[in-house]
Amino acid sequence: MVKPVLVIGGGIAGIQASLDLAEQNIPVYLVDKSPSIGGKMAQLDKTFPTLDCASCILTPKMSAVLRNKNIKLIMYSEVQEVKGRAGEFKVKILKKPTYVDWDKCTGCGSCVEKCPYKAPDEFNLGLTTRKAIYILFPQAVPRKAVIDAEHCVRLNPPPNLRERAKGRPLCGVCSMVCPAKAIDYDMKPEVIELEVAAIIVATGMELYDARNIPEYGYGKYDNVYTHLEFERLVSATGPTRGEIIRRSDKKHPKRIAWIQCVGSRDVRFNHYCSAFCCMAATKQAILAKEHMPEVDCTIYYMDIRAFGKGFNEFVERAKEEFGIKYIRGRVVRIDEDPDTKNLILTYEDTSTSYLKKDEYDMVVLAVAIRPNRVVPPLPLDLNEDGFIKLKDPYLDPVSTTVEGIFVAGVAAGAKDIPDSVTEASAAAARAALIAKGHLEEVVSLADGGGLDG
Amino acid sequence: MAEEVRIGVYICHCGFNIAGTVDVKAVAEYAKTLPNVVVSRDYLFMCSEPGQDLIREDIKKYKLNRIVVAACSPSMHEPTFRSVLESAGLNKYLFEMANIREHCSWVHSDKELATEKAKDLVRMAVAKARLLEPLEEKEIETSRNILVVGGGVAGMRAALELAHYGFEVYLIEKSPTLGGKAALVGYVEDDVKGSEIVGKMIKLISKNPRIHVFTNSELVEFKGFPGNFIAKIRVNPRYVNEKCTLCGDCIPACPVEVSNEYEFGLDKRKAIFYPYKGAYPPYYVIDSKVCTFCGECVKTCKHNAIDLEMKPQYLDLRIGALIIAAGYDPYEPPKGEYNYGIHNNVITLFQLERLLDPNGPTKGNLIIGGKVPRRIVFIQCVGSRNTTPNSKPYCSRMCCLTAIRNAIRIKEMYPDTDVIILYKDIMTYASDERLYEEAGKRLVKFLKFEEPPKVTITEEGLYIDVYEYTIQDEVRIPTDLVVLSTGMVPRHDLNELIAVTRVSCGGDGFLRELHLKLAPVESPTKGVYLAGAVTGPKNIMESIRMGSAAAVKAMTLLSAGKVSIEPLTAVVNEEICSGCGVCVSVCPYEAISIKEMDGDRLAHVEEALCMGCGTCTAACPSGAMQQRGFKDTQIKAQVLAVFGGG
Repeated sequence: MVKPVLVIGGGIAGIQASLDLAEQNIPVYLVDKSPSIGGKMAQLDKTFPTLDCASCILTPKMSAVLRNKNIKLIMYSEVQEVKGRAGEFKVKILKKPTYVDWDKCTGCGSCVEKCPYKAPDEFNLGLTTRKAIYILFPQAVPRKAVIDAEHCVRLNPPPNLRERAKGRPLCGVCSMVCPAKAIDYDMKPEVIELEVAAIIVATGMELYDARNIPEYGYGKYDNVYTHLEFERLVSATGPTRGEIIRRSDKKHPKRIAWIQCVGSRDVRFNHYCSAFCCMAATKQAILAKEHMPEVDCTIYYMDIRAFGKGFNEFVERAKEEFGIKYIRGRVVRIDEDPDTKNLILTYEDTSTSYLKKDEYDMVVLAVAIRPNRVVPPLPLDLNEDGFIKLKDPYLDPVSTTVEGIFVAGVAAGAKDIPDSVTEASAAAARAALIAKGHLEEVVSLADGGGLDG
Repeated sequence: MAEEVRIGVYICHCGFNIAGTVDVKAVAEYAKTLPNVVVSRDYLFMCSEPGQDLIREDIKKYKLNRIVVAACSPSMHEPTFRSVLESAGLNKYLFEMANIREHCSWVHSDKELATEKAKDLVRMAVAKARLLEPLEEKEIETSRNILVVGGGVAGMRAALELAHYGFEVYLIEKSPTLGGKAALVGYVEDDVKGSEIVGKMIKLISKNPRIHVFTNSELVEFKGFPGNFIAKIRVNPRYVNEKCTLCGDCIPACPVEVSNEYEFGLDKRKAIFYPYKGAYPPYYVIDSKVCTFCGECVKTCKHNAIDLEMKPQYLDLRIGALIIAAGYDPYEPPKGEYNYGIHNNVITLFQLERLLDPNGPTKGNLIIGGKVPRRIVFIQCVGSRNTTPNSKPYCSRMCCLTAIRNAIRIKEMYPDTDVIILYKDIMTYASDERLYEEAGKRLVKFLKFEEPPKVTITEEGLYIDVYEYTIQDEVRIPTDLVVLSTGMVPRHDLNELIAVTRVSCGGDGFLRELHLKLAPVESPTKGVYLAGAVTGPKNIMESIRMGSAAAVKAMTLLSAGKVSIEPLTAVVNEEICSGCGVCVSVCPYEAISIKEMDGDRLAHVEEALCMGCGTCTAACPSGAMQQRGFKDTQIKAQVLAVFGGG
């Protein structure tokens, strides 16, 4: 008998693991805390070093997940509790209320159009607003609407309006315009209980909060962005429809600086290297040049970590073909010119050992990544950097310290897309064996047959 | 009467990828004017769920029976849209794609002209769509045997995963032992030796009845189709059989002595030899390239284990999938590069690993010329990142960490030895950064260079001149030992494997993946998967993960027991075929044969073997050979359409 597998996290790693299992007829539950699968990759404009458009290569996989009858999506939900053991885990999942009956919702967007209330758009990292009822992004899978209860006047009426309403319900526009009658303001959280043979943790990452690094003025200076914000800024589906413009005056920047290792490789914050930011900055500088050929792009770095396939060649191309400048040096601080809102970087150019200053119109911070929190509810061990600890990085490089729970992608350490995809497939191989009842073999492979060397 | 052709045309914006250069609205309006087009629309992302819904709804609403999507390359989204047709109840081959992205918007900048070209491409696609016919796929049973080429960590891991799943695995290895390069790594961590990792995997493989190991073996022929490949294996003679007890009596008798490749040339071995402690299978082997077949070893062997008459054996296997895990070669600096090969105290990183391995030629002691070196200088990026004229353009990924790990180990073993690492950029990515920190704490010194350092030999010893980047000055460093951090290069014999399997390699010489980002373990040929450093530099952990990942792809292909064959194959019009056989001679897949039918000689296409390349249809002198989905009439209609005749 084939038992189901639970995949936690619907980013590229979770998507790949789910597909690899489902395509061999193993039932999969794919849980994601957001209303759409896609993860961080869905927010990217293009990918290095091929400059493939991220959406173009990701959306077929997202559609394939939706089409696959062996995959059951459990969206807008979080794992609350895991009990039991390999072959028979018992999992409790909390499904947050979406206030929209997804069996009825067609994703037509009428509600979104008519909703009178706005909230920061998390998909665009707050660079723009969305409605209180929203569809996460145009290519969302599944394409279903969700009400953000905090910003919905009906669900969370401000005290002054509540008083005036005298007990009558407020607003209700979405319910009125929905042609499918899918809106349900009374929806309650729901607990789903599942029994699964194995679990793949692909919970991915969040960005380290750049506000913790006061010398760079993120959150204080208008024209300082994180690298993920820059992705949205340069993306055709982003808040500016792909126009690179400054927060302060909506003008095109003439000089952009990227600062690497912001919160990474820094003993004050995170020891580890975030692994993809050198290439991401190189790609972003190339994209900026493609959008605005006259723009001047400079990348401040410690080491250029171009270790993957085609990476070093990509950096060479950035230098030679696009004229992107690389300065090896730590930026000590950023100051804002209060009139122009330009940014003055103070840095040590290590090729001269002199402290220098340079002015830019826009600064992009390669902020460190952090693993999303998984402990608790999962009973896993973490390593000293806070990522999920592997049982044996050599003999079993996708197994956690708990038998039957595997890990893929950034949850186990900083890495790029292809390495995440490879790990996801590797984790799926292990989970497939347990799902098909070969638990003993999985264990034997993991501990080298229980024999010494 | 033939049913009326009703075509729907969909123009994709692809965000700004297309809409930035092509006036998509104008193209959509234009398409409405073409014959048989019932509906034409443009949309932000046709591949997205709502984009697909648009097509599905129109198929029902307008009773469409042909669909044209003008978007990206069919290699990207043809499967997506075909499945849309299928889910709407239409035969999925009634679909045509016009590539207005790679063939238009991405390569042109003049919006007006690009829009005109997009219209041309759409007109051509519509002209062909009119003539499309429904096609049916065939299902064929698959083999449950899998062939893994390469017995390093990636190949062994893939073999183990698949055997546990229930497949029969043939694991072939070109050299006389399983283990690959990982077996020769001294220490991968403080207390983990490369040979231990390999040893554990070998133990599991040797006990598994479903894994059939053939060393000294190579793949010499490979044909067929996914699920049903035919592979021919040549098992080269070992000249030593399983009666061998590893007693070693033959060694003193053998008069031939050559450099030992398992110690990277640090010592010598005989023509008859056992690769290293723990090598598998556990028998001696004769290196036929250097053996004089004098027979001295045969005389000394008490166990009758040596047979100089052994001949190559051939093995014909029917296999469902192939996993290529053939590994890499260490970069070998040409003689004189950094004075390598001229001075004995200039060694490679691979040689250093052997010196630090307790099973190595110095029993793990770092003894050079009878003494422990007082100073060791590592030079990074040897053979990598265009550092020297002979270098490859890429970074070899594992050399920084390997150098640092060994530097820390040397500092632990010999605290008085000064260790200096000359580098361009330190590539300790992710949590490996902590080892870089650790090396700093242990006073390993790091000097950065841009131009390659120079190694000079004097009577007093070696010194290195380097222009140090951070102090912007010339530094001269006398040293006892220079370690060249040599990288990874494609196997010297990879081209032979490419010729046999018809996989392809990229500009760097490593095998090319189906997609660099999202299909890193799949080759462009379905049923052929890639694992380990054969696609580019990888460390041991990454190679093992790729082994598992490649295994899951084979499981997916073969777990159902059958595969469907695309019907876009060549087909013979038997009325016209004269049996001349031109098609047989040009077919690269041996899919066509001449058969006698009622006294007539006729070409016969084995559909499962046909890859739909179209070579035979072009060569056929009478037009009897046609390719489904690309018939002469269909292509002619496209050609006429582009010149306005459609």
